[in-house]
Amino acid sequence: MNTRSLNVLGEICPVPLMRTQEAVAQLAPGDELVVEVDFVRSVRNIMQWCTRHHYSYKLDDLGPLWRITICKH
Amino acid sequence: MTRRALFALLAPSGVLAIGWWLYQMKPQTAGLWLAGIVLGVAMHRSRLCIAAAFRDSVLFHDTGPAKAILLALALSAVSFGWMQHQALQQGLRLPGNLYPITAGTVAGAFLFGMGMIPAGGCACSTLLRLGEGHLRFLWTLLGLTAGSLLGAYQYGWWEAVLGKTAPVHLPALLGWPLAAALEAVVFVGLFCLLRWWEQREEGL
Repeated sequence: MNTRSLNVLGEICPVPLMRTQEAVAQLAPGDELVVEVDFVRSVRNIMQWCTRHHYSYKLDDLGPLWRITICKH
Repeated sequence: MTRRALFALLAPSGVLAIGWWLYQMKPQTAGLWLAGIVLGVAMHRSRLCIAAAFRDSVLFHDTGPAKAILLALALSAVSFGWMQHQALQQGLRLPGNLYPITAGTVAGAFLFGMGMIPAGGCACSTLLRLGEGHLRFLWTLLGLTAGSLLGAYQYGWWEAVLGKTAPVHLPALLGWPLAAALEAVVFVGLFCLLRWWEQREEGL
Protein backbone atom coordinates (compact mmCIF):
# COMPACT_ATOMS: atom_id res chain seq x y z
CA MET A 1 0.00 0.00 0.00
CA ASN A 2 1.40 3.39 -1.04
CA THR A 3 0.50 6.75 0.41
CA ARG A 4 0.64 9.87 -1.73
CA SER A 5 0.07 13.43 -0.61
CA LEU A 6 -1.58 16.36 -2.34
CA ASN A 7 -1.15 19.94 -1.17
CA VAL A 8 -3.92 22.26 -2.37
CA LEU A 9 -3.50 24.90 0.33
CA GLY A 10 -4.41 28.35 -0.98
CA GLU A 11 -6.45 26.93 -3.87
CA ILE A 12 -10.14 27.77 -4.17
CA CYS A 13 -13.04 25.82 -5.70
CA PRO A 14 -13.13 23.97 -8.01
CA VAL A 15 -9.34 23.35 -8.13
CA PRO A 16 -8.97 21.16 -4.96
CA LEU A 17 -11.56 18.59 -6.07
CA MET A 18 -10.32 18.53 -9.67
CA ARG A 19 -6.75 17.86 -8.53
CA THR A 20 -8.01 15.24 -6.04
CA GLN A 21 -9.89 13.48 -8.85
CA GLU A 22 -6.72 13.44 -10.98
CA ALA A 23 -4.61 12.12 -8.08
CA VAL A 24 -7.11 9.41 -7.09
CA ALA A 25 -7.30 8.23 -10.71
CA GLN A 26 -3.55 7.48 -10.57
CA LEU A 27 -3.79 5.44 -7.34
CA ALA A 28 -3.75 1.63 -7.35
CA PRO A 29 -6.45 -0.19 -5.32
CA GLY A 30 -5.53 -0.08 -1.62
CA ASP A 31 -3.43 3.10 -1.96
CA GLU A 32 -4.12 6.21 0.08
CA LEU A 33 -4.14 9.88 -0.81
CA VAL A 34 -3.64 12.54 1.86
CA VAL A 35 -5.10 15.88 0.78
CA GLU A 36 -4.40 19.10 2.67
CA VAL A 37 -6.90 21.85 1.94
CA ASP A 38 -7.88 25.16 3.55
CA PHE A 39 -10.97 26.09 1.51
CA VAL A 40 -14.03 24.96 3.42
CA ARG A 41 -16.37 24.46 0.47
CA SER A 42 -13.73 22.23 -1.16
CA VAL A 43 -13.67 20.02 1.94
CA ARG A 44 -17.39 19.43 1.53
CA ASN A 45 -16.89 18.85 -2.22
CA ILE A 46 -14.21 16.21 -1.67
CA MET A 47 -16.23 14.42 1.06
CA GLN A 48 -19.33 14.40 -1.15
CA TRP A 49 -17.35 13.07 -4.11
CA CYS A 50 -15.79 10.27 -1.99
CA THR A 51 -19.22 9.25 -0.68
CA ARG A 52 -20.72 9.16 -4.18
CA HIS A 53 -17.84 7.00 -5.45
CA HIS A 54 -17.74 4.74 -2.35
CA TYR A 55 -14.18 5.73 -1.36
CA SER A 56 -13.62 5.67 2.39
CA TYR A 57 -12.09 8.81 3.89
CA LYS A 58 -10.96 10.22 7.22
CA LEU A 59 -11.24 13.92 7.96
CA ASP A 60 -8.92 15.69 10.41
CA ASP A 61 -9.72 19.27 11.38
CA LEU A 62 -6.36 20.91 11.99
CA GLY A 63 -7.70 24.40 12.75
CA PRO A 64 -6.82 26.60 9.77
CA LEU A 65 -6.72 23.60 7.42
CA TRP A 66 -8.19 20.15 6.93
CA ARG A 67 -6.48 16.86 6.12
CA ILE A 68 -8.52 14.29 4.21
CA THR A 69 -7.13 10.77 3.90
CA ILE A 70 -8.81 8.94 1.03
CA CYS A 71 -8.48 5.18 0.54
CA LYS A 72 -9.05 3.78 -2.93
CA HIS A 73 -10.51 0.29 -2.62
CA MET B 1 -6.38 29.32 26.11
CA THR B 2 -6.27 28.61 22.36
CA ARG B 3 -6.88 31.35 19.80
CA ARG B 4 -10.14 29.60 18.79
CA ALA B 5 -11.44 29.57 22.37
CA LEU B 6 -10.50 33.23 22.84
CA PHE B 7 -12.31 34.16 19.62
CA ALA B 8 -15.37 32.10 20.62
CA LEU B 9 -15.46 34.07 23.87
CA LEU B 10 -14.81 37.54 22.45
CA ALA B 11 -16.89 37.39 19.22
CA PRO B 12 -20.35 37.04 20.88
CA SER B 13 -19.42 39.78 23.39
CA GLY B 14 -18.39 42.06 20.51
CA VAL B 15 -21.62 41.31 18.60
CA LEU B 16 -23.74 42.10 21.67
CA ALA B 17 -21.73 45.26 22.46
CA ILE B 18 -22.18 46.61 18.92
CA GLY B 19 -25.86 45.55 19.03
CA TRP B 20 -26.33 47.50 22.28
CA TRP B 21 -24.58 50.56 20.83
CA LEU B 22 -26.83 50.42 17.73
CA TYR B 23 -29.92 49.91 19.93
CA GLN B 24 -29.13 53.17 21.73
CA MET B 25 -29.09 55.00 18.38
CA LYS B 26 -31.98 53.22 16.62
CA PRO B 27 -33.56 49.94 17.85
CA GLN B 28 -34.47 48.85 14.29
CA THR B 29 -30.79 48.97 13.25
CA ALA B 30 -29.86 46.70 16.17
CA GLY B 31 -32.51 44.20 15.02
CA LEU B 32 -31.13 44.26 11.47
CA TRP B 33 -27.57 43.81 12.83
CA LEU B 34 -28.58 40.72 14.82
CA ALA B 35 -30.60 39.29 11.91
CA GLY B 36 -27.55 39.77 9.66
CA ILE B 37 -25.30 37.98 12.16
CA VAL B 38 -27.74 35.04 12.47
CA LEU B 39 -28.05 34.75 8.67
CA GLY B 40 -24.26 34.95 8.27
CA VAL B 41 -23.67 32.17 10.83
CA ALA B 42 -26.38 30.00 9.22
CA MET B 43 -24.90 30.51 5.74
CA HIS B 44 -21.39 29.80 6.97
CA ARG B 45 -22.25 26.65 8.90
CA SER B 46 -24.41 25.30 6.05
CA ARG B 47 -21.57 26.01 3.55
CA LEU B 48 -24.22 27.56 1.32
CA CYS B 49 -22.66 28.90 -1.87
CA ILE B 50 -24.58 30.15 -4.89
CA ALA B 51 -21.50 29.84 -7.10
CA ALA B 52 -21.23 26.18 -6.04
CA ALA B 53 -24.88 25.60 -6.97
CA PHE B 54 -24.01 26.25 -10.62
CA ARG B 55 -20.33 25.24 -10.74
CA ASP B 56 -20.59 21.93 -8.84
CA SER B 57 -23.73 20.89 -10.73
CA VAL B 58 -22.06 21.41 -14.10
CA LEU B 59 -18.53 20.21 -13.28
CA PHE B 60 -19.11 17.43 -10.76
CA HIS B 61 -22.81 16.45 -11.08
CA ASP B 62 -23.04 17.43 -7.39
CA THR B 63 -26.46 19.04 -7.20
CA GLY B 64 -26.67 19.41 -3.39
CA PRO B 65 -26.05 23.20 -3.33
CA ALA B 66 -28.39 23.72 -6.33
CA LYS B 67 -31.18 21.82 -4.56
CA ALA B 68 -30.62 23.90 -1.41
CA ILE B 69 -30.90 27.14 -3.42
CA LEU B 70 -34.00 25.79 -5.19
CA LEU B 71 -35.60 24.96 -1.82
CA ALA B 72 -34.74 28.44 -0.50
CA LEU B 73 -36.30 30.02 -3.62
CA ALA B 74 -39.43 27.85 -3.29
CA LEU B 75 -39.84 28.79 0.39
CA SER B 76 -39.28 32.45 -0.44
CA ALA B 77 -41.86 32.27 -3.29
CA VAL B 78 -44.44 30.76 -0.91
CA SER B 79 -43.79 33.26 1.89
CA PHE B 80 -43.67 36.31 -0.41
CA GLY B 81 -46.78 35.07 -2.23
CA TRP B 82 -48.61 34.81 1.09
CA MET B 83 -47.43 38.29 2.15
CA GLN B 84 -48.51 39.80 -1.18
CA HIS B 85 -51.88 38.03 -1.02
CA GLN B 86 -52.50 39.31 2.52
CA ALA B 87 -51.50 42.88 1.57
CA LEU B 88 -53.78 42.92 -1.49
CA GLN B 89 -56.67 41.46 0.56
CA GLN B 90 -56.32 44.39 2.97
CA GLY B 91 -56.26 46.89 0.11
CA LEU B 92 -52.59 47.74 0.65
CA ARG B 93 -49.92 48.38 -1.98
CA LEU B 94 -48.19 45.27 -3.37
CA PRO B 95 -45.10 44.78 -1.15
CA GLY B 96 -41.66 44.04 -2.54
CA ASN B 97 -39.49 45.53 -5.26
CA LEU B 98 -40.79 44.22 -8.57
CA TYR B 99 -38.58 44.52 -11.62
CA PRO B 100 -39.22 43.34 -15.18
CA ILE B 101 -37.23 40.46 -16.67
CA THR B 102 -35.65 41.78 -19.84
CA ALA B 103 -32.79 40.87 -22.17
CA GLY B 104 -30.69 43.03 -19.81
CA THR B 105 -31.47 40.63 -16.94
CA VAL B 106 -30.30 37.68 -19.02
CA ALA B 107 -27.13 39.48 -20.19
CA GLY B 108 -26.40 40.69 -16.64
CA ALA B 109 -26.90 37.21 -15.16
CA PHE B 110 -24.53 35.74 -17.77
CA LEU B 111 -21.85 38.37 -17.05
CA PHE B 112 -22.24 37.93 -13.28
CA GLY B 113 -21.94 34.15 -13.64
CA MET B 114 -18.83 34.47 -15.83
CA GLY B 115 -17.23 36.63 -13.15
CA MET B 116 -18.49 34.60 -10.18
CA ILE B 117 -16.82 31.31 -11.14
CA PRO B 118 -13.20 32.50 -11.59
CA ALA B 119 -13.61 34.87 -8.62
CA GLY B 120 -14.55 31.88 -6.44
CA GLY B 121 -17.86 33.14 -5.11
CA CYS B 122 -20.94 35.31 -5.40
CA ALA B 123 -21.57 38.36 -3.21
CA CYS B 124 -22.46 36.52 0.01
CA SER B 125 -19.80 33.81 -0.25
CA THR B 126 -17.17 36.50 -0.93
CA LEU B 127 -18.04 38.03 2.45
CA LEU B 128 -18.06 34.59 4.12
CA ARG B 129 -14.66 33.59 2.68
CA LEU B 130 -13.20 36.98 3.64
CA GLY B 131 -14.50 36.43 7.17
CA GLU B 132 -12.77 33.03 7.22
CA GLY B 133 -9.47 34.79 6.52
CA HIS B 134 -9.01 34.27 2.76
CA LEU B 135 -7.56 37.71 2.09
CA ARG B 136 -7.47 37.20 -1.68
CA PHE B 137 -11.26 37.70 -1.58
CA LEU B 138 -10.54 41.36 -0.81
CA TRP B 139 -9.87 41.71 -4.54
CA THR B 140 -13.22 40.09 -5.34
CA LEU B 141 -14.94 42.43 -2.89
CA LEU B 142 -13.19 45.42 -4.46
CA GLY B 143 -14.32 44.34 -7.94
CA LEU B 144 -17.84 43.67 -6.70
CA THR B 145 -18.07 47.08 -5.02
CA ALA B 146 -16.60 48.90 -8.03
CA GLY B 147 -18.97 47.10 -10.43
CA SER B 148 -22.01 47.77 -8.24
CA LEU B 149 -21.12 51.46 -7.87
CA LEU B 150 -20.57 51.82 -11.61
CA GLY B 151 -23.85 50.02 -12.31
CA ALA B 152 -25.77 52.24 -9.88
CA TYR B 153 -24.13 55.39 -11.32
CA GLN B 154 -24.98 54.42 -14.91
CA TYR B 155 -28.38 52.83 -14.15
CA GLY B 156 -30.32 55.61 -15.89
CA TRP B 157 -28.27 55.21 -19.05
CA TRP B 158 -28.72 51.42 -19.11
CA GLU B 159 -32.45 51.80 -18.54
CA ALA B 160 -32.68 54.23 -21.47
CA VAL B 161 -30.66 51.90 -23.75
CA LEU B 162 -32.41 48.65 -22.78
CA GLY B 163 -35.87 50.18 -22.60
CA LYS B 164 -38.17 50.50 -19.61
CA THR B 165 -40.92 47.89 -19.36
CA ALA B 166 -43.47 47.30 -16.65
CA PRO B 167 -42.93 44.28 -14.36
CA VAL B 168 -45.37 41.38 -14.68
CA HIS B 169 -47.09 40.18 -11.52
CA LEU B 170 -48.17 36.63 -12.35
CA PRO B 171 -51.20 36.49 -9.97
CA ALA B 172 -52.55 39.70 -11.58
CA LEU B 173 -52.15 38.12 -15.01
CA LEU B 174 -53.28 34.52 -14.33
CA GLY B 175 -55.07 34.64 -10.98
CA TRP B 176 -53.65 33.27 -7.72
CA PRO B 177 -54.46 29.52 -8.17
CA LEU B 178 -52.98 29.31 -11.67
CA ALA B 179 -49.93 31.40 -10.74
CA ALA B 180 -49.24 29.18 -7.71
CA ALA B 181 -49.69 26.03 -9.82
CA LEU B 182 -47.32 27.39 -12.50
CA GLU B 183 -44.65 28.18 -9.88
CA ALA B 184 -45.06 24.71 -8.36
CA VAL B 185 -44.65 23.08 -11.79
CA VAL B 186 -41.49 25.14 -12.45
CA PHE B 187 -39.93 24.23 -9.08
CA VAL B 188 -40.81 20.52 -9.34
CA GLY B 189 -39.57 20.50 -12.96
CA LEU B 190 -36.23 22.05 -11.96
CA PHE B 191 -35.89 19.57 -9.08
CA CYS B 192 -36.51 16.63 -11.45
CA LEU B 193 -33.99 18.08 -13.91
CA LEU B 194 -31.37 18.24 -11.14
CA ARG B 195 -32.14 14.65 -10.05
CA TRP B 196 -31.76 13.45 -13.65
CA TRP B 197 -28.47 15.34 -14.10
CA GLU B 198 -27.11 14.02 -10.79
CA GLN B 199 -27.77 10.38 -11.78
CA ARG B 200 -26.35 10.89 -15.26
CA GLU B 201 -22.77 10.82 -13.95
CA GLU B 202 -20.90 7.88 -15.39
CA GLY B 203 -20.79 4.89 -13.06
CA LEU B 204 -23.62 6.01 -10.80
